[in-house]
Amino acid sequence: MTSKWMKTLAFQLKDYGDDFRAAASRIREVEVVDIDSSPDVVVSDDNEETFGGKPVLLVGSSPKMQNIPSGKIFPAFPGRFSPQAMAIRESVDTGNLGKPALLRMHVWGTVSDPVNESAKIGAVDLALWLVGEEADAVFLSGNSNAECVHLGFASGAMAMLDFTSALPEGDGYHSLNLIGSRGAAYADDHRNRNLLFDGGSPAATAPAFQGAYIQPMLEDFVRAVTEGRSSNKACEEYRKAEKIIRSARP
Amino acid sequence: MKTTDRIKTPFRTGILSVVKHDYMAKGVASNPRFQLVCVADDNDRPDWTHQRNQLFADEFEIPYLQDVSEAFNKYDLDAVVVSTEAERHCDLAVRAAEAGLHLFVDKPLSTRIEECDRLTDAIDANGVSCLVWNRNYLPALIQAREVEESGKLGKISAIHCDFYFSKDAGPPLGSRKPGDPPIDWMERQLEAHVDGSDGGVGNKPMGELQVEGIYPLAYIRLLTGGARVKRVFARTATHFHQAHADNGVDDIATVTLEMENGIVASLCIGRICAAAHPDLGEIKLHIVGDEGSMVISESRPEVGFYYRDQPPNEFKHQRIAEENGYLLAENFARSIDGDEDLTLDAHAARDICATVLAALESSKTGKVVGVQNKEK
Repeated sequence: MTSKWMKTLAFQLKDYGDDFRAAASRIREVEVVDIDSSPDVVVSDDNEETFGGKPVLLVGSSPKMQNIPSGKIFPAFPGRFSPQAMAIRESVDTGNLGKPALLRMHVWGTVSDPVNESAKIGAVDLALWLVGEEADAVFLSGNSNAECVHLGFASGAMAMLDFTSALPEGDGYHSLNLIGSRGAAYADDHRNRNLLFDGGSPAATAPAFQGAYIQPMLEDFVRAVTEGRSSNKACEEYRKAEKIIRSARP
Repeated sequence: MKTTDRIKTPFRTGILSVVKHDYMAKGVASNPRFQLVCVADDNDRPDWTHQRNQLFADEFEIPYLQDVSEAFNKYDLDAVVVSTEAERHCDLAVRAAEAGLHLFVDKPLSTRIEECDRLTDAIDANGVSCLVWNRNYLPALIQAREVEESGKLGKISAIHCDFYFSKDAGPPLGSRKPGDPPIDWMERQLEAHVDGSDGGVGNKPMGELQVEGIYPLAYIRLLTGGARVKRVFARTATHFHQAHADNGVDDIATVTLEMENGIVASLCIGRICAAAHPDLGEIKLHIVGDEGSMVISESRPEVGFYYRDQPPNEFKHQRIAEENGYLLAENFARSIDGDEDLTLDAHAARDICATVLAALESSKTGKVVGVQNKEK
């Protein structure tokens, strides 16, 4: 039985398609269909396609300016829907942490799974989203192996993000701390690791929750479409983060 | 573990004031290479200074002299420990260097670069050794240095330090009522002596970057083979403590550091209030090399304690196997022997002071600022 909330959704993704389908299968209001069967909404990583004006959740690539006025191209913000970011945002919203003072993020990838521009834009967006302000000072520094993005805000808050893709083959590393005027939150892969003894020094291994952002992100997208929200605000927010990554040079 | 050379005659050591913490003097006292023989300070110091000095002298059953020159002349000293208010460090240290004494000076080296230069000139002219207090011998730092020296990380390209002390510093920001006078910096520091949070003791107010910045900046220097900072971009603010706001100094700061050898570094530092962490604070090092990388928690090893009626401000994780004071004293002794380089000498501490001052200037101007390192 379908409801007025029910949406048919199709994926057109080069990567992580199985994870997205698995996440969508858990959402009662969504029925996954083939891309050729005129779905209500689309999730894609292709920023050239407009999918006949259907609402699109654009994953991992920048919305094209000419497509934005339709209000139907929703840039994805995976970072906002990670379990750690949602928990921190909730704590900010309830006032437990007080006024954001300092946001610190370490985002490290490997040579074969690097921190690409989309990931950097997502990290900067997450910082702006959690601090809740536009940056009034930007300084970017780096070398061939590492980058720092340093942001200042009119309220006196500040953010420091660093990126590298120099890790050897294996896991990446992610750390997100938010210090507020009343308290702090620490979400750090370093804390969330267990020991595996298989000879020599033990390996530090993490429980898998990297894909946990997908379901709430899809739910939010479907909800936005159902409620008739325009994507213009989301696009504007994406542009702000993109501008910082692309234009901030010392 | 290194064996201490106990056969050698201990260095006769004077304590030139112990008005802040007594960790330095006690670290030196714990090492058999040193013998504490007296405490001394200038006669014109305020009463609270003399009281603290006398208390320490009584504890160690050594005399307290209100005359520094007399201590130099009468007690045949080899070395001194200088742990005064920050603005007096260099003046007392210069006088001791000119008397041919080796120096172990508290952090920060000074609040003024001219004073640092006066000290390094005196050290060079008199051929004495000068160690500046730091935390480079905490177990996690020793581990980090061993990994770095093993070559497993390859060439270091980036290093990032998060350095947050979760301590209060008097009433929280916004607690001052209309008509109340601003908090006097020195009075606040004297009150803070009870719980050891008087790192900024002195007449001149100092922000968290100036009080504690030397620790993470010394880590960065240690783990990059002594690379110096060339340029900085910084932001500072006051978010937590009324005393800092009333005295116009920061309690939180972020600094991007562009270093020699193309290394990029960053520092986030703050006194983020006791509620913000269950322990002393989140203190971490993130080191990126071209062959390997490392994340280090400065607090480890530690033991967790949780129990009924536990005082809310008691750290729930207690650091263990911490011998930083003893090992710094050992490094000092070996340096005087001529057998070992200092882990943080006055010249390095002088350049760290220059880095901090450049960062403070950057935070005021909003611009990138070059660091005025001293020519090698």
